[in-house]
Amino acid sequence: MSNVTGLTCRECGQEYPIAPLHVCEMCFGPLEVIYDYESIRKQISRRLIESRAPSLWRYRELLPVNGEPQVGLHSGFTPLVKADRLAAHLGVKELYVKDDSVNHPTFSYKDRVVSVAISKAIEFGFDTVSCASTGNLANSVSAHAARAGLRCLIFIPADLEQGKIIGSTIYGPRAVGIRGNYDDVNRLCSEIADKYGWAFVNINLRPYYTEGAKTYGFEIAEQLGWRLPQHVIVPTAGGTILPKVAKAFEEMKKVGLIDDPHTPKIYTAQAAGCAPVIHALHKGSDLIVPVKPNTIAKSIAIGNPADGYYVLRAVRDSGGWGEAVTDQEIVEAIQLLAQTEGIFTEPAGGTTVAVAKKLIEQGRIPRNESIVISITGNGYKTIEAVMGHVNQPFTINARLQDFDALYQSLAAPAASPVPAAELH
Amino acid sequence: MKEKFYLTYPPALVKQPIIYLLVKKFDLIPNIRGANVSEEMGLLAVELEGPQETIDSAVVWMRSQGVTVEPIEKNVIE
Repeated sequence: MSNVTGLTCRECGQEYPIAPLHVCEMCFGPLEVIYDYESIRKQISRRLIESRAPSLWRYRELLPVNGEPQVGLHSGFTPLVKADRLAAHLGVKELYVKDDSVNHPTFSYKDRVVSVAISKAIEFGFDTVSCASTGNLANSVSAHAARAGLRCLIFIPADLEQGKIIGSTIYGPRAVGIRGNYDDVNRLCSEIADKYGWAFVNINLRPYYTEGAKTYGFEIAEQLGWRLPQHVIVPTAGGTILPKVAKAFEEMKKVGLIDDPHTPKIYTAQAAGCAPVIHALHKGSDLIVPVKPNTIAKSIAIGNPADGYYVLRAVRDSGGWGEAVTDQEIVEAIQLLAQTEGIFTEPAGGTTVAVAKKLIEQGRIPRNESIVISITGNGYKTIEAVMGHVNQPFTINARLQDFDALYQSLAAPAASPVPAAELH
Repeated sequence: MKEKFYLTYPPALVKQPIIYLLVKKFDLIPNIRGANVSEEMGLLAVELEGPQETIDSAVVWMRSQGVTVEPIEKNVIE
């Protein structure tokens, strides 16, 4: 039984039936799923959730699907790592890393939103799924479509690097490279979605797709022992995940899963080379001025985020803030996370770690309160971002005396820039 | 043919009658469904109706004037 009663316009409140719709016919505002929270409150409990398999579907009452989920049966429920060595380095008491770099099956948080979107696509009777993407989203849609046996078309800029194309084409979708700039590609994909009637996961299924991002927030609270953290830092690209993490925390209170009345402060992280939300936040404006991205953090380089305004609103409502960091700071933060916690993240994750560091140094985030850093993607997909910044191996002949000589020449081979002695 | 767009005007264009000029120049039917205009920027949600080629030409012209023209979904590449 579905707990979804319909869709509503986030701007004018106009209501719509459950259908593959995404913008309001009246004002063109985005649509949001409406739940029957009273009914959910009666169905759901911590014990029920804990009895289920460790995947994002353990929160199915709060997701917009009917009946049994169709795909993503192993997606979600990624580790919440207590990051003591990184905490020691940043000088904070209680720090966690929510690690979607190991999300199944394609190693990014997109596996959450795509699991929900494709389950919904099957429910609506679509036989073809699609998206426009330069990386993580296309990887995830391609993999989930393969598993579900659906036709899949992905749209990419014609000049996208081979490495990024293979991460999707290995799953067998029809990939279409589009010549032109990003503005042209955006417009064409919107027109194709309108004309062909496929399930374009982040266009006509967007109200359902974005709901999948709530599971990131649900898991943080459950993994903390059914409590909310005091501070959460989340990267912003299109603006899907941050408002949904805020919504997740509120929903858990609403349906009785969390007793804690406090609202976590949520902070947005962007790369300085693409920071339209941070500019508006720092100016105190509601208007997101589009920018042309110029950063190594490609997976979050969205110049005009679809949900940027809702990121601003969620950050302000929570009492949080946000910062942007340079590419240099991002690379350093990727290495810091790898060398303190053994987690290799992509530049989006480096951005989040670097922004957390900056906000702690600014005193915006107190050092003695609980903090969660959101890691949303995997560094093995973007090794070019750190190439040239990491140590190269020493090369020796296969003789013991050569190694002895090398070893003696290395003054004090440090295993990590953060020695164990710095730990509490 | 009808197509929905999200237009963003930079400060220098906020006082310019872009939609009026668009109609005069291209004979399209604009249907404005949402707007937020300040000194700093103008945002417009608009549907343009007319032949596809004329809409395409109008998009090229608006971009040449400095208007950011995007589908109503804004950036769909993620």
